[in-house]
Amino acid sequence: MDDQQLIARIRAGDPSAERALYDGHVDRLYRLVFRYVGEPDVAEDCVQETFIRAFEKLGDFRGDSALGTWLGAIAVSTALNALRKRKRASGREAVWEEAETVPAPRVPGVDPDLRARLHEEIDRLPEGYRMVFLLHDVEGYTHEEIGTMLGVQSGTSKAQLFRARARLRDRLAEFVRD
Amino acid sequence: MDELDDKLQDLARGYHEPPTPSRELMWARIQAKRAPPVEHRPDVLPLRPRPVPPVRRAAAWAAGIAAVLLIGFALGRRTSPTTIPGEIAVAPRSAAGAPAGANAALEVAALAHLRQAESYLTLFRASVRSGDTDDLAVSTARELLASNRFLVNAPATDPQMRALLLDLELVLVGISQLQSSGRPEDIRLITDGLDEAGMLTRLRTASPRDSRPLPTGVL
Repeated sequence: MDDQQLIARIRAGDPSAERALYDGHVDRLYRLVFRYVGEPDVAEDCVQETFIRAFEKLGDFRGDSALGTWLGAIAVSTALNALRKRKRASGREAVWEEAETVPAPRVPGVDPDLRARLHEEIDRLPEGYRMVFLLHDVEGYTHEEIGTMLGVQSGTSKAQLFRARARLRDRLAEFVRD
Repeated sequence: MDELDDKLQDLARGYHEPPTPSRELMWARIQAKRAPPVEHRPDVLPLRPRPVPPVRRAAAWAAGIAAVLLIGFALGRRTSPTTIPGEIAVAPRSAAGAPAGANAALEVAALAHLRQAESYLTLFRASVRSGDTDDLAVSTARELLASNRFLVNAPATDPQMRALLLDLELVLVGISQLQSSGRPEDIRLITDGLDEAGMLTRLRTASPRDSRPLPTGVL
């Protein structure tokens, strides 16, 4: 059954079609959201919210993109909102574009391994860079898909990825040289 | 992308490595959140049947069924569909004790009740499996218990349906008493009882979901 048939059945009130849509996308959406938020409870809440919103808004889906990409856009929006709420709650400002971050304190004579340091530096990327980096380099989405999900041009996605990689290279240069 | 980017990309795959999601639990929560809010009408729910004059019998039935339907549609519909099965195990409309219109409404009420019970028990099982036993919605079990008792007492309910409702009652009673005990052994006894009675399968069989909508205007 293709996306259009599935959507038609859901619109006709077929509950098994709703479940089929859920089964077909839940794992991928959970991976996507978890990569970004990093906490199982928050990720589950976001995925639940994604499907609730998707079922509510399915009538608005025009088929301009693949159903999976449309669901991904809702998931990304939900995850971003969840993180922004959490940051507001913790008194920190969400940063989307350029943001100078303070490097992690280094303990003299002790070098964390590259993997751990890389993960720390990913955490420190501005949110826009981090999202694009995770979607493209970790989850394997194309720039076109990322552009649709984030509501930006694919060129913007490419630029964000370029800057994210450059920042990571810069921050990790000393470890890589070793 | 150069060699360094390749290396970083490889290492980045371990960043926030996703665990296996709790698919069934998430689905049950989605269904629960999509259900309309609970509306309590304990004042009109006849927990114990009382003798009424024949001329008032139809009105009393209508009031009772309305209460079940209100709870049913409010609590229930944890699964989205507004559908009715091809057959439902309640007595034919000529059954003694209630007028035909009341029987039709009773069928709808019974269907809504079975569906919400199935959704609730699915959520209950998922919560127990995930170890999330802090909030088992004991109050919902009590509300379902009241609706269940009403349907058990309805003269138009056939013996097969009544047997299912009585088995369901045992499970709901166990859950409704959890708040005071709440021990893992009690929870295990309930889930064992669910399995042994094949409760979820029987509920699904008695309230299959198809695409036909529930009749409207029965009240």
